[in-house]
Amino acid sequence: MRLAVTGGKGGVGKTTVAAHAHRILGWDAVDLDVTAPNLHLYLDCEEVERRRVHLLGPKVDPDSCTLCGECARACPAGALIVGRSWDFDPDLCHGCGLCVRVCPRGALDYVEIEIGEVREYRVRDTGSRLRSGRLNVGDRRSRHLVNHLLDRLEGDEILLDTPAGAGKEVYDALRAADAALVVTQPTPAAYRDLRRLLRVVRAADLPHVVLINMADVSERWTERIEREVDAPTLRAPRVDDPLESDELRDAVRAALDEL
Amino acid sequence: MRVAVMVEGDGVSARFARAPEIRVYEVEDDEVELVEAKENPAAGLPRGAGRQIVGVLTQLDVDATVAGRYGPNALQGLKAQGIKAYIAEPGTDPEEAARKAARGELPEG
Repeated sequence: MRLAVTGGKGGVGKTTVAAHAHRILGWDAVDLDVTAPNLHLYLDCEEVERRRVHLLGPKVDPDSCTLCGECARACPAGALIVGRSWDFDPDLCHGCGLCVRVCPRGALDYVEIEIGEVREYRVRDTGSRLRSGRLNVGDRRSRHLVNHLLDRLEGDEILLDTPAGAGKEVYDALRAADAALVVTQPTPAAYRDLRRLLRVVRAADLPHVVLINMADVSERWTERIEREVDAPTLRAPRVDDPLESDELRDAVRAALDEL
Repeated sequence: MRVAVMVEGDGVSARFARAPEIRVYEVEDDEVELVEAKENPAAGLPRGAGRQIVGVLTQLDVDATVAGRYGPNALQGLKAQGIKAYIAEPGTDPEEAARKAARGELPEG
């Protein structure tokens, strides 16, 4: 099974729960939270490999280019401006390659544009692998890096730590999974984000359970979530050292059993 | 010389890429003629307006542009296309701004 651990709002304990799930199951893990990857900090890891991730963008042969502008008209991202010169903004390029294909003179070739890297770790206590995506600071192409990782999943027992939020890359990650563990907290902000995320989960159409972390913080909100959410819900207590807590570990184990 | 003046209301716009209107003037021997006025298609873009507007001005085949100020992406793109970026006080009469730009009396961005 490929299991996604996800949570609409940041700070609800998604990665802590993912760390517990990893230690319980012992599966290889992939950190898809590429703008702030941190699962490796929650596990006892050593880095074994680091690879850069590229898109393919265009480069021009100025001797062949007639500045006809076909490439700029074809570019869906608006990364090319062609008038008195051929001007390309690599930050806007999404690597679709249309420009290279439409050029009537064959004046364009591919060049690599770096968007981030993938670091691979060995987790000491489980002996399994953690692959972690890391987007370059300020880059907007998180979805490309997430899909780069999803396209390279190996094996059937994988834990996916999804990006935060309820965006397209979260949907992509859920589509790659067979089940989802959705983490939330009993607060108005977390519940609002949970409802948004659950719409994405339903669109991805996979079995899921909701783990209400720190449920004892607000009985009122916990009950409201349990009443209104159309999925099995479980409670996890507030604890002092969540990463080492047996109580939280037991709650995660119970949630995994539900799946 | 063809000059594109970025307009908001009746005067030069403080913003370049997100100005609502573009007026293109043909300036010759201090004679200023309005040859085209159009809505700025880049004004409402969520991002990358600074790039797109350069594409628009390239199609309008202008030699220079006037606005209150410019963003870094826009300036870089304008430079690449050889379009001069002049700065005028926001609210300046567009025709007057075009004349001064053609004379080279305005500071460059």
